[in-house]
Amino acid sequence: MVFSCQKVEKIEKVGTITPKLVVNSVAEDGDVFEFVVSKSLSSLDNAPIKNLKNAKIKLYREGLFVEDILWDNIDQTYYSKAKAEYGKAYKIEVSAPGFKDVSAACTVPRPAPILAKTLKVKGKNTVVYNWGSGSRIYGSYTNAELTFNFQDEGGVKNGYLFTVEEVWDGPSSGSGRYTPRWNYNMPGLEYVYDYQSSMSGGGFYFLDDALYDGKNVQVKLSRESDEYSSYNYRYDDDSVVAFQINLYTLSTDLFHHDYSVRLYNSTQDDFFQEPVQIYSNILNGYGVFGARSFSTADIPFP
Amino acid sequence: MRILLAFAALFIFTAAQAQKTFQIYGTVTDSASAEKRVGSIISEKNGAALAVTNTSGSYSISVPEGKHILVFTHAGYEKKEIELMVNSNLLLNVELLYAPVMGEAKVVAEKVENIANSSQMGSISVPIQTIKKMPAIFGETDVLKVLQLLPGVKPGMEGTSGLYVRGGSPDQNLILLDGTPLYNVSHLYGFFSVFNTDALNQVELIKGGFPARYGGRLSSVLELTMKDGNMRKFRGSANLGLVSSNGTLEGPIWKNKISFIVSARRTYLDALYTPLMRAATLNPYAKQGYYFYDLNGKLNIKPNANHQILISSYMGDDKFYNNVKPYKFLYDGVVYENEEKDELNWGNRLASVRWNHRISPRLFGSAIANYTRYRYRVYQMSRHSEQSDTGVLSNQYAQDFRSQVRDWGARYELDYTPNNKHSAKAGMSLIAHKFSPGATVYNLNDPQAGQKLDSTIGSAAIQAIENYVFIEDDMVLGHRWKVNAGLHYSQFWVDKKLYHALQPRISMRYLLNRDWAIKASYARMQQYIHLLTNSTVGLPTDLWVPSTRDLKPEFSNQVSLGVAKTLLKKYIFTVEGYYKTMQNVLDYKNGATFYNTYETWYKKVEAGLGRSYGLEFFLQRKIGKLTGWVAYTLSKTDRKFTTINFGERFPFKYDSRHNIAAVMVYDINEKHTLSATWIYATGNAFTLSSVRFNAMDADGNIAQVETYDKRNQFRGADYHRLDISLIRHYPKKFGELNLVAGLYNAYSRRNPFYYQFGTDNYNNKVLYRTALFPILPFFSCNIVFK
Repeated sequence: MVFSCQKVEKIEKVGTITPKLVVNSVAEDGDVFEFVVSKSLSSLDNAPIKNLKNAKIKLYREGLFVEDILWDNIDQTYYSKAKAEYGKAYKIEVSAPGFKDVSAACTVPRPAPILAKTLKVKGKNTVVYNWGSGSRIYGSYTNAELTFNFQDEGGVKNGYLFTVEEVWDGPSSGSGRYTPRWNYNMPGLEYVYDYQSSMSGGGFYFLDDALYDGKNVQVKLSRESDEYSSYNYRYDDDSVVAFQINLYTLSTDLFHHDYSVRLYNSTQDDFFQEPVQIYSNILNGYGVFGARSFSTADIPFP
Repeated sequence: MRILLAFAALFIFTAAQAQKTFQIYGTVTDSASAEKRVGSIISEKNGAALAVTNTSGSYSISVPEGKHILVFTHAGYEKKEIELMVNSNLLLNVELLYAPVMGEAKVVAEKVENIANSSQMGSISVPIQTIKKMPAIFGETDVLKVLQLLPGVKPGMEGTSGLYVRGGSPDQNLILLDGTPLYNVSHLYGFFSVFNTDALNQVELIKGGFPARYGGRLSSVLELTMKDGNMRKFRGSANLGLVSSNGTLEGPIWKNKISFIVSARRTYLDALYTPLMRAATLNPYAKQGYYFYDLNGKLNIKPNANHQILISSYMGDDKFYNNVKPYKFLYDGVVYENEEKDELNWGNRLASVRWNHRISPRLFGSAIANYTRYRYRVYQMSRHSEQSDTGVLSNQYAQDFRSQVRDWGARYELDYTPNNKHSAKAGMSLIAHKFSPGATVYNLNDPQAGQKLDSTIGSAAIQAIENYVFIEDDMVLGHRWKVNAGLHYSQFWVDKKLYHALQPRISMRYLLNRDWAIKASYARMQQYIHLLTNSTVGLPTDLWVPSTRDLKPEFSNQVSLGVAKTLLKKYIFTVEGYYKTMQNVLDYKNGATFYNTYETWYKKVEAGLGRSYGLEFFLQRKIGKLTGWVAYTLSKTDRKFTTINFGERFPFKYDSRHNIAAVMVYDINEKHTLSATWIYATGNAFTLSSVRFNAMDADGNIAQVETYDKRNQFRGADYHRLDISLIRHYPKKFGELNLVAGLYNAYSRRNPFYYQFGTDNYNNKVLYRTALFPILPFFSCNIVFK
């Protein structure tokens, strides 16, 4: 009865929205910088977002001008000639007609090699499956505890993003991988399930180094079961053959930006979910100018 | 400890002084019902007030030996002068005569209490008689909606009864019904409050300068006192409204010794809706609807002048249901039987026993034991069976989600009046809390599918003990200073962790002249329980949770400064400025969701800071043909969290720069009362995605996002509304018949209820504003049996 009285009216504006430059770039040691430049639109603007071709990007390294980066008609993007290097601080200034100039800075982080890794499987299930000429034993687990260590670089602010993938092989689905949800009790560690990720499972762990600066960081994860679920594409007759740890060291701003983007992607179609703000280090604009490095390690299933 | 000793020394000293005087003590009651009068003023003729009756209607004053003329006044009552020759302690119970329509020529309470006399700040009481005469949506008189019209109090959304006091959230209000806390105070998602005005005696809201006897919440204390029941004769009343009806009956069980009052209210929308729905769906077994009810009861036992026992209870529930009653049908030789239930209900239970006793002329004691419970429940069940010659196939599924908080409490308080310069209180309290933030019981039985499940999933119950002690003294220091100073010390045991806090409180008054006073106060408050909410309308997603090992208690510091004046003996005028800081206030983290079953509730929230400051103007007239008030509040309130809004301050959702309320109740003559309220408020703050752009993740993938620059950066349209009503009084042999007619939102302002994105006919994204109530006429009928 109460809601039968309601009346809905169309509102034309969500405040005054001035379009801003949007710059996106994620660099890696040894690679050239690639930039995607576009503009922001009001939420109520139904036009498609197109990349801008008339932007000018100035690249600085350690405070010194390196080069002007212009649109490359052949590659259809903005590529630098200079390559990113570990430990170096880079800055960009971006301008385009009709937009306020924007700028951003980042330092390319050093990779954090995985120093030690252990896997304890407490309970093990095995399935004997006849395949082709011979029979094979396929394994899975009821309880697993996975630990790995890496060294955080002291005095440098950055963050970590890692996934732990279950790698399987088997007759029903062939080889595949999946990021199961692990339990943890580690200060500063956050889990985000990114529905939009191209990675199977989409489970990402974020760790800010604020609590671990210069320390040998030990990550302890545990999992009670690998039972088939709607998110797990593995069939019962597929065998877990390994776990793969993928550890990204991210520049601080990329860490915050990536966390917010994946959190945003985790909020699809949930009416009760709190809204997510997208972090940006582009001064006067949106997007991210960041850098990353990568380490990986496999742990064979016992 | 030193402070306690100092207070004890003060008592001994003042008691010694008091030997030169005599004590006059007793109660002030209504002459017709013997109902206590709280806040009555006792003064010497042509002198300043000596005492004010406490929540039990009791007073105690010291006078020197000799002849005295004491004056007893209470707003709306004829004043009473009593001449006495005092040469010993004296019990003096006084009855005042209610004067409902006060002609100027009548010698009634010719002045309101002198606001300049009190050291209390930020406190407002609204006479129940005024509340009853004010216009209300659907004709449902609502105490909380009236309080929303006071300065410093902001309503939530259109039509709802949430109270946002001085930038605080609703869980920061200590709402006491006969001294017992109520957790949920609204029906129908906040459109109606649980309080039946016919059963209420007194309503007082304290927004700042909290006396030491109160604790456990940061932002306000709302104390509602139920009537004790008429000791002289039976009396009843009934209200017949469009949405609900209620009735109240009170009277003596043993004249002047034992009385009772019972009150009941129920909506009847379901009774109207179910037959219509059955006809529309052609399903005679369908049962859909919603109702709420309230039941209040109180027993008042007064064996003698020095003892009183009060037993109070309240129960109320809301229930939505969409059920299919069990039914059978025969098809192709098989008997099918089905039943479905889909129910959502929430409600309170409250019970208390209070023992008031006068220990001596100067010492008054009050002991209370109470129980309160708030619970909501979501229940779904389906049952199906097929019976044929070959046997019976059946399956059943049930899901039962419950969240509740339960308190068992005991409290003892002493009022000590050694002389007219001191009025001290001391007390202690113990509360055992049990929080069950949410657990679901799944029950599945499907033998054919080989499935059987009987399992409970959810947060484990948490037990906690909260206790406090307090001491306070209302002191008169010379002719100009009056100070209420006190200490409140509380402890909270939870999860093998002890939190405790010493909370100093002080309110001061400096009298500039007879009618003008400057007042100042400071209060530190600590709160151990929190309401997690991602909605403003009391949806069942709200969870009451305690402080834990990791989540620290909330606390606040509030300072106030103001002036108060009694104008022309009939008006109260106050201006108060306040500044309040809050720490460890909770909010859901970015992206947190109520339905994420992976995380426990305390991992979804973040503690942060709150800040609120403002200036409040208030002009009130409590007596005469024309009563009401005008209030204006200029305020700002914000929040700051480490991760939310990237650590920057952002406006609180109910931050509102300007709030104006005008309330008028005019008794035109003995047969007609006209009333009107007008309210204006700056629009609420919302978080709406305002911008769209391409975002890249750490893998280099680009996707479009819609986001916002700052949390709560969008301002809704300003809110304003005029309500008017006219009451026609018909005196009858049995009592009185009152017919009420009025208009809610008289000029049909489309005030925003919420904003939401959608698409138009061309599939373009657009923003919609939904308004709830246009102009709504209302009618109700009130019958009073005398």
